[in-house]
Amino acid sequence: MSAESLVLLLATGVTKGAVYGLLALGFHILYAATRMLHFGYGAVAVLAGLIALTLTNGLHFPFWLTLIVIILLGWAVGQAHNKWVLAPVRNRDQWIQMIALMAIGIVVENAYALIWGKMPKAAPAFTPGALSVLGAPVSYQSLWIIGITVVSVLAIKWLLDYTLMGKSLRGASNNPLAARLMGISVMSVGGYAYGISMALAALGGMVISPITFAGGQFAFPLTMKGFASLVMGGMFSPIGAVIGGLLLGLIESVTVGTIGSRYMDVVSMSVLLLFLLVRPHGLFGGE
Amino acid sequence: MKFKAFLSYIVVVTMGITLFIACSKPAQGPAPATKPPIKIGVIVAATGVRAGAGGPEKEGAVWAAEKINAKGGINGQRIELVIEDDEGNETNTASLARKLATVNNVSAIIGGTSIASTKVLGKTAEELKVPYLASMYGDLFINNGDKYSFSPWGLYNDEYTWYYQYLLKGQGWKKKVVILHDATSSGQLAAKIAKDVLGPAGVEVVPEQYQVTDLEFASTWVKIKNARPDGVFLYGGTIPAPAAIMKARMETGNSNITVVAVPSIATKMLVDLASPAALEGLVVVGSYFAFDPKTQPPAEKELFDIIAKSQGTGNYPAVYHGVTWDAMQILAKAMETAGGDREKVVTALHGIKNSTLTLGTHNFGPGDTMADHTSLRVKDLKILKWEKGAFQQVPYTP
Repeated sequence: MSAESLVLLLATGVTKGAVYGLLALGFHILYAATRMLHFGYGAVAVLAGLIALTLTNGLHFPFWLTLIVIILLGWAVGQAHNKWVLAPVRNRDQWIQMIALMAIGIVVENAYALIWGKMPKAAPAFTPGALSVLGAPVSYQSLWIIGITVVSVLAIKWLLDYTLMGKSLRGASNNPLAARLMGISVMSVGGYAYGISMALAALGGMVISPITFAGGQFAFPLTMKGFASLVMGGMFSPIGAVIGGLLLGLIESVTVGTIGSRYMDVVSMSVLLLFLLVRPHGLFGGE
Repeated sequence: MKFKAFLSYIVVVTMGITLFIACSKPAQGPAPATKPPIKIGVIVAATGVRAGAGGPEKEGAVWAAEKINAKGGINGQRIELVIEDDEGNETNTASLARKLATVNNVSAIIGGTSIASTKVLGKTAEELKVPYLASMYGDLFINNGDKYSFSPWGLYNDEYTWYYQYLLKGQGWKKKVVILHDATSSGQLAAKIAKDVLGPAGVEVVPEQYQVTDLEFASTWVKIKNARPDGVFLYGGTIPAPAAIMKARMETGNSNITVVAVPSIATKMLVDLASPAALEGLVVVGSYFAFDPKTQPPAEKELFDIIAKSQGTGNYPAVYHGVTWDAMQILAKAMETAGGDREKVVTALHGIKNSTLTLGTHNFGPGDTMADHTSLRVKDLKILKWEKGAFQQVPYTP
């Protein structure tokens, strides 16, 4: 394989992996704080991609404003999840709560299909063109995705380490009962967790839509990739979630580039299964 | 008491006015039609991963029905479409077909957006004795002896053989060809036919299957480039994957690799999603449409005009529009003599001869063989090339 092919596979893998990592980080925040998995998660990402397209192409918002609006929108969707979807079923069995979340994911998918139509839409790259690296064209969109992921991870780390919100989340994650006894409200923790989680999903949807197109049928694949990345990286490790995403992205791109696309899911899911059997707490494990 | 009396008064007056309007005749205008409408069922994948094909199928049927109704219907009877969305799931197809046949009492059914759903529809049509015109090649679902299943399309094996002969003669691909196909059974069949046709000619056929839900295709192009093929044959009409493939070809610097694609991908959506620049040099083999207004037959022009009116200038139909558009018109022609009687419709369909519509000239045979129930043959297929922002016809003699 030539150096050019290798660079292209690496760039593609890291780009995909960065988006998976963002989604996995959102999954992690939610799971760590609430012990809840949201399988309607990808629908929020796809919705954000469509809204971003409407803001930039339709309403001619500048990029930076669209980015802020999308993050705030994700936060707002998270709050709505916490207050109106989860609050009524918070004291019910966990499986009921998961079904409620899945149902809201289906509602969101159908809602965006009604508003924007069922077919995907072309979303322009944030910066068109590509950089040549050892002869391989590495798109500027890839660089944007990687950059935004790095900044997001650092921002989340700062949030968790240095803010009261972050400390509440970490407390709830480490020992939910103790956190409640110390006066940390379940409702508040839920609000923070869903807010951050959905903001990350929205960001992931916005950055990937120039590659996958906005809209369409990508909600479920994105959800499963995010979840698989989290399992591989470690359910309780934020850095593990991102590394898990990168690992999954690289496994997929190398598999497709060498063996073929039809084996991509087989190989990546086999690796996931191996993790579950050999290292069930993921690469970075931790509580 | 006063309020109740006032309310009663309002109710009585309202009822009186309503009765008056219902009984009165309009001062002008034609007398309302007395003949009941002819119901035709339509089952397509309007949602789901196959909506890229199912959506145009639905549109083609609706436009054809509107056209026929605008001209007074069939012998004064309007066509009433009963449209169902099977979401590309053949379990849904079976139950919807039964509903159309037994609850809605349709005179005929058209549609079916995949081989699997078409087979289910065909089986149901035979069981419930309902005429069925599929949006599918005849040899993929009709069995010899089937009485009620018809195809207003051609023969898959014949057409794909024609396509692959073009790769040999028209493109001069003699060493290695990558067949990039989706995971559907028709995609896998396309790869198999490639091996059957190109293999004996000494061409190495490299099948490469993609998933329509793949998030990117840059890695696929790395593999294709390393295979060093003469070219790539792209199968798959389920947008957006072909658009993403063409976009990735450009973005990975592989625009020099010629892509020859099946006609079902030649849609406006492909252009909108991939961008005109990404499609430069794309060859479409076996198109039914000429695209060029100077050489378009009248039947094709009619469909192009409708789409331009409905979706704006610059839009053009997909082959899936043409299949159901033709199916509806064939049915309407049969129903001119048969009315809504299912058995008579079947008899009348066998009488459809030399009916030139958008996909070509339709001829059904007299018997109940698969060939008799399939109306088109390989003829007048065109080669198109995307150049300078439009599909241009390329001369080719098979």
